[in-house]
Amino acid sequence: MGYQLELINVSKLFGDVRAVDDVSLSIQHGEFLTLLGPSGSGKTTSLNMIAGFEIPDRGEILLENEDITTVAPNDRGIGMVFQNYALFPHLAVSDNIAFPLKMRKTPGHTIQQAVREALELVKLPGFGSRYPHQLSGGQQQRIALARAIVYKPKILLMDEPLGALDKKLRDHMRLEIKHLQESLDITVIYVTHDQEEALTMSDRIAIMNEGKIIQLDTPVALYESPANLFVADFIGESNFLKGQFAETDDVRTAVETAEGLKVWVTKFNQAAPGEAVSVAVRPEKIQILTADVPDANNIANQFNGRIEEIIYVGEARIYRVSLAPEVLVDVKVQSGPSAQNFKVGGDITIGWRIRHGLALT
Amino acid sequence: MKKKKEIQNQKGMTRREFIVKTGTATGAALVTASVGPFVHTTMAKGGTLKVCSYGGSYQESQRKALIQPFADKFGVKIIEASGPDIAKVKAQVDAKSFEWDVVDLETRHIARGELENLLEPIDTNVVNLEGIDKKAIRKAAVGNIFWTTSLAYNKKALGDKKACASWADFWDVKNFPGPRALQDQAPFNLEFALLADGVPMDKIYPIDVERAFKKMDAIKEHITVWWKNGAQQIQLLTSAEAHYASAWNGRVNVAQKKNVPLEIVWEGGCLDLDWWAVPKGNPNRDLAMKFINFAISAERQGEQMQKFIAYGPTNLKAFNYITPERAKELPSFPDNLKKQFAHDADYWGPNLAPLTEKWKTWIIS
Amino acid sequence: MEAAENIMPVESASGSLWHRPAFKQFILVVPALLALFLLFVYPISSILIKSLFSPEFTLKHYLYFLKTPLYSRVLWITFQISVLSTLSALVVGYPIAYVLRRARPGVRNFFLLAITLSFMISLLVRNYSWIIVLQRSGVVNSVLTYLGLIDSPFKLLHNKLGVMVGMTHIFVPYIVFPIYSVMMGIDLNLEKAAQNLGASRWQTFWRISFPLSLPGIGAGALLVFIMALGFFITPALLGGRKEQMISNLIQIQVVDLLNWPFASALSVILLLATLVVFAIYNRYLGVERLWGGVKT
Repeated sequence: MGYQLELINVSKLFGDVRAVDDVSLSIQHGEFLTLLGPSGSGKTTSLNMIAGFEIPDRGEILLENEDITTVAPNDRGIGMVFQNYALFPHLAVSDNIAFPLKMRKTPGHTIQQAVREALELVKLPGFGSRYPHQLSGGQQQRIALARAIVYKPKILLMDEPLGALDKKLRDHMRLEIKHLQESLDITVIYVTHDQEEALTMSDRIAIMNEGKIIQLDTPVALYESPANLFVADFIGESNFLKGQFAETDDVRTAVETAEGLKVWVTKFNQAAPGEAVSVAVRPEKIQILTADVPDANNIANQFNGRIEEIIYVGEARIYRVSLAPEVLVDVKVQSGPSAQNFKVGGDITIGWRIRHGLALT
Repeated sequence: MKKKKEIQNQKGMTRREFIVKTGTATGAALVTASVGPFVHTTMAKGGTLKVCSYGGSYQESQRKALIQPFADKFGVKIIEASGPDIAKVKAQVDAKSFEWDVVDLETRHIARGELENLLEPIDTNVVNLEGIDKKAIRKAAVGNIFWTTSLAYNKKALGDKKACASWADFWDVKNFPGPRALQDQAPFNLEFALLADGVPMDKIYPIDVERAFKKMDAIKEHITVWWKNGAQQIQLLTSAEAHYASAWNGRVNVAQKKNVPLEIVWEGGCLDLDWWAVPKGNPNRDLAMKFINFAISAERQGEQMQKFIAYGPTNLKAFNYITPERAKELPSFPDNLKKQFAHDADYWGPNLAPLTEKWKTWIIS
Repeated sequence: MEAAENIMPVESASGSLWHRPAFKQFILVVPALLALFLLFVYPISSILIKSLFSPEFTLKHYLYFLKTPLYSRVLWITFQISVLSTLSALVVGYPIAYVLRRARPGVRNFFLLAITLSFMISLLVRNYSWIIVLQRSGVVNSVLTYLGLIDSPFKLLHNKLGVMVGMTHIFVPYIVFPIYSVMMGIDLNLEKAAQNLGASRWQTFWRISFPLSLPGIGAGALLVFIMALGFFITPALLGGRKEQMISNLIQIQVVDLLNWPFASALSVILLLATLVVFAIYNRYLGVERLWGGVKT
């Protein structure tokens, strides 16, 4: 089937630095795809190449099966929302929004109509005569969005568009952008370094590091089955227990840490005994084992430890438990009355099921 | 209006540039004048004399031949300054605060200074005027050099062509072709125009203004460059941008010594002077007069003109100290003198303002 | 001013004058006020007074200006030359600033330094250099003649062209810096945004980059224009007979003719003309932009 946008073995060098290194990516129409990674991972450069601000050194970019690798930015019809909005400070809001239409020689009355609709779409009707500096950050963000979609581009690129907003507004705008994308049925390629943003909005996420796509998958898949240590570390919180493979039976494999802890994980086929491995366990997957936990005997990984610290984060508590000297594990438990029984310095038994530990090499 | 006017002074600025720097826009030259009162100088005590002249090689010749010998002979401490004009004298006189005790000034400044009573009369009890050319004696100034503005040309640029020998030839653009330059001012040019029109030298003053401007009309479009300062005239002649130009003899002489093929035509030259004067009310007047007396002596002028600079001594006896070869190069050498006319400061004193206005109006039309 | 007003009602003050904060603040600005007075208020008012009183009040110097065509004609020439050289400096300076804004830091710093150094070269040296380049036997004409492109030398000097070349050379640095500094404040993403929205490079320049750099153009042009009004060395050396500047006439009145009252009147008229230009600038662009502020 045809993809809307394809990057095929695209590379970009800045001097000796491989900003983007042999990246391939296919995006379907209507998809919300996020490029997620730390700064310098190549996500913005990838976006710039899609927009046409950078020309790849190698590889090609196809838009609806047409090679646009070297097409000028203004001939691509790909919209973009910039991190700092890039509203034209000398133009009123309506002129900002009308800009792409004027460039396309749209008739005047059509422009007026389209600008009005765009303003309504971003819930800022009547703001047309204001100037960008008279708007709040969130309002500027909406205007930038209105300007980017008013001419109905095939694809909308967004470069950390919420980075400059405060948390509450950011959470709100996330949903709004998502709703807008769905109602307009537009393809979005979104760049962020905020994993929460990526997880909540995206259909698929491409995790990037050092110019390469490390893993490309749905948010759930990325969270539940990260392909490697980097992804596990980058997406969500994880405890990492370093060790080596030990024995393997029919269904499970054991990993032994230097401190002598034995951790069972799902059978790992390529496990060569003695090979270094880390076991990642999400804090919320670890249970505190008390007498009233049913089925506790079926939990393969059980350890006694000492509570070093209790961190209250509102909806949950995080217990930092030492299983051995230098081995600390965070356990995240929903806040509730029972939690009150534990004190710092107290002994505790924790455990997790085999399927919740991921052996990552 | 003078050969050495743009000579670099000791501070490395030309006079014009000095004026620009101190008063670029909006007539801020006035600011310089109005700030005058704030500049305080201590009165000369016993043996200090403040001398101001036009700087460069000219002031250097004065330093070697006049100033230093005076200081040595009388044990006087001399403070030199550069860049004089009558406006600065007026500022000092008005404020009764004197930066200069003796000042070297051009004729138009002397004439203006006498009209406005800004200069001390020459004390003939101190200043011995015996031997001084009559043209160099005024009520409030004594001439210290003769200099000439005359026709000069680049011999090499002319090639085989016959050179102009008079202002009439200069006006004859058919028989004496070639780019020409004149100075952008009324004095001298109006006189040259009258000479070219056939007026005898002794009938130039008072100037027939209508006749002079009519004659100027005839040459106007043939003048390639209207030069503004002394460096420019020699540059124009040297580079052959102008084959002919009115020029100052001192400058031409310096260029000749550097083997630039320039020639000066003494015929129809305008003989002018530089003057020593004392700002009115200067408490150091007596020492100033003593200096003037020393500086105009035949021996001092003789040494100055023989060794250091090619101007004419105002003390006719100075030629006793000058070799015949050198004398021929000087404006006041008798053979040269008789071909020239004397600039009339008394005519120009009151007429400079209206004729400058008329000149500027003429030149922009 | 506020501080000055606050200290007026001394008797109603609680505590002595010395301990009032407003007074302390006022004391701090005294040196600046004093300098302002000595450097601007006193000279300008003394020029104004000189032009109006000699010693009784009279308008005769202003009337003389009005009835003698020379002065208004030369003032007009001065304005023409100033406008033309400002435009010419803009045409040359703007692209320089534009390119510098986009140059790599090393290249940019090199050229900024070079431009700064050109401030230090004497005006006369720069003017005479142009004479050597532009005169009939100068570099340009020699090369053109040598190449057989022309038979007789072009007249590049001692006319308006020469003045424009010389003044442009002197003014370009003054115009580059204000434009450059305004351009540095413009987010380059705006140009990307414009292109992304469908604007060609040309449209991006005219609709985005150029309008946003207008404050720099205004500031640089005003600065240069006002400098040009007071200029006369370059027109004198590189110009022809018609390139006469009003400041030259003022100088003649001051130095040669000792007619200070009339010179003062001419100066005041030039100052007024300058203020008119300034007012027009303020009306359309806002003076605060000169000092880097943003008009809202």
